[in-house]
Amino acid sequence: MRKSFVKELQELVGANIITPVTAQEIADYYKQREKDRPNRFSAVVNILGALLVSIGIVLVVAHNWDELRRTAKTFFAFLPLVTGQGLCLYVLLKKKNNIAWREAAGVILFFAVACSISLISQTYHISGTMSGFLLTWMLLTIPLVYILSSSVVALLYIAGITWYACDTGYFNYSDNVVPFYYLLLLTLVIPHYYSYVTHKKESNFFHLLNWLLVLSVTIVLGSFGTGQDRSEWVFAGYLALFSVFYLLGRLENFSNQKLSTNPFLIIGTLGIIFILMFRSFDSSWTGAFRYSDINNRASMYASRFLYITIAILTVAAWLMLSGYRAAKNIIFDPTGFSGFVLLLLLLAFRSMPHIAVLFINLWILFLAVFFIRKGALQDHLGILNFGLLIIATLAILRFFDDDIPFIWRGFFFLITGAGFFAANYMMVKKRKAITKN
Amino acid sequence: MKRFAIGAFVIIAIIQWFVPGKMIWDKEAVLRKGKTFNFRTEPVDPLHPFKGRYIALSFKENEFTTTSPDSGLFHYGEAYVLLEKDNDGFAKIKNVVKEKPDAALDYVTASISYIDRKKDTAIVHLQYPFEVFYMDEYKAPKAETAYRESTRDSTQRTYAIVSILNGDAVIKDVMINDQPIRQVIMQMNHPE
Repeated sequence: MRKSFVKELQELVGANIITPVTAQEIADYYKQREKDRPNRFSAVVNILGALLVSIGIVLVVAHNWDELRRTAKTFFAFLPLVTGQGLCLYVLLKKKNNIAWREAAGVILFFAVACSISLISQTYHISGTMSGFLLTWMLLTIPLVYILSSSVVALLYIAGITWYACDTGYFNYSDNVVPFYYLLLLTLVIPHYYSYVTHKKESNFFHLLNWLLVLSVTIVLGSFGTGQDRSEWVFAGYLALFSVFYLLGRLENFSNQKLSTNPFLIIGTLGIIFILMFRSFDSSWTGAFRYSDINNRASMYASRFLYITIAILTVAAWLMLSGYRAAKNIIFDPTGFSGFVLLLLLLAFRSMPHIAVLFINLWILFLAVFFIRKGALQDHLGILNFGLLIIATLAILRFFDDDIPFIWRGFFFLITGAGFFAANYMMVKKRKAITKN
Repeated sequence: MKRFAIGAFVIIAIIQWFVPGKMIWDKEAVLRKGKTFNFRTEPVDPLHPFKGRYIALSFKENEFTTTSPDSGLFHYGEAYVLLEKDNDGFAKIKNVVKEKPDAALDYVTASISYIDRKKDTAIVHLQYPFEVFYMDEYKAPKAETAYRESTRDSTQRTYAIVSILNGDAVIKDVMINDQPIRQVIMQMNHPE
């Protein structure tokens, strides 16, 4: 307990605000709470130590010990594995409730598995692909997440399967390979994640898991496309994904948390605005229009990403129907609908890019107005200025748009600038009125 | 609960042993019982983040011209390469087939990496499962230099000794002028 806090308690007793008994009770309460909380510092240091040692062993193994005979190499291949397994067994028997031990042992065994496969591949000069290696490694280590209930292993696992998906989908010469296994591998970690959603929402590991999951899915989605996929569907797919993220971020589980611990909302919102801004350019529609035959309907619907988009939007629709009924929204929130808007525009106005661009611009303005209104109603300058920032960005982008006459652009800028002043002035005035009362 | 966790852990530990163990078992069988072939090679030196530096081998005997579209070789995927020895004793492709050959024949499982289609024929480019040779990180770059020097001189020859059994293969060594590449590098480091 901090000294300043004890001092303040004494001050309150001195001023007769609380009795000495209450002061003692408060002090006891905080002492007990500190005791219940595991020693975070030692856990972090142990986990980092285990990570560094493990990576060190991997690098030592990668040196390739030519001088060793085959039998010696085989022995050394199993040495880290035995050590890691021994450590894990010890933890299971004696230190089951110690986070630092559990996580450190999990990390060591996680890397030991990689070491042993690597050493044997070296010994017998097995070519093998990187993705095959990662797949074997991840499948051999995922049970540790549950047996040791190790969250660091879960984090490493998510990173590993992301690497696997990238290696299969992006870094592969034959362009038709899609990392379908990624979906299966991802579902294997979901029960662990779910246990955090239901019981340990305050834990730092939960926030880290959230961030890593959001980033992983964002990175991997594009790898499901093939060379034949049209770029507009890839954009639509990503916008649908960001809409889902946004809707998830608005769920009660996340929306009550700090913004920095809500990656769904951050990545969702930024992603939505970024893609809409990109599609607000005339050239992003006419370019695709010029390079592909619009009369060729079959090829337009033959794109796999179109169906991925529809699948993701089904999830979005389900989230809206189930989530929005329960949530108490102050005003109607249109942000989550962005994915549907782009899909409809692509289906209806693909051959009329000017109309589509007009709608996209109007939609962005609509979103900006929503954030400004929400900020004003909640008395939150951050949200209000975010809305204004969207308009400002849109204005800057249109400044460079040659298709709009100077006079219109000029008026747009004047109105936007005046809007900034007016909105902030009104907000500050409102705050002053509240403090006066 | 604790008992269950330990039981589950023991099973996982056994599986974690089984995977590398099976790799060793299979490859040892190839080395013990397999037939040896020498493949003419062209090595270079890249790296793998976990396994370290290796020499990537590309083989001179890596393509096959097929004239029958019915053979299935016009499609990507796995293929079985039947081998024989040429007059100099080096490995030579006898035939490439899509169906698993009789175990008595000498063959190796490869994958078709590229098909160069002509009107009635196709040149099938093959990728063997033994295209890397791991080496000490200090020796691997030198091995590449040694190789490059040896190719400038057309009288020198480089090849890989590969043991083959039932389609599986293990590289025994990479040779420059009938001398193991490790020995060549050692001589480079300590010239007499």
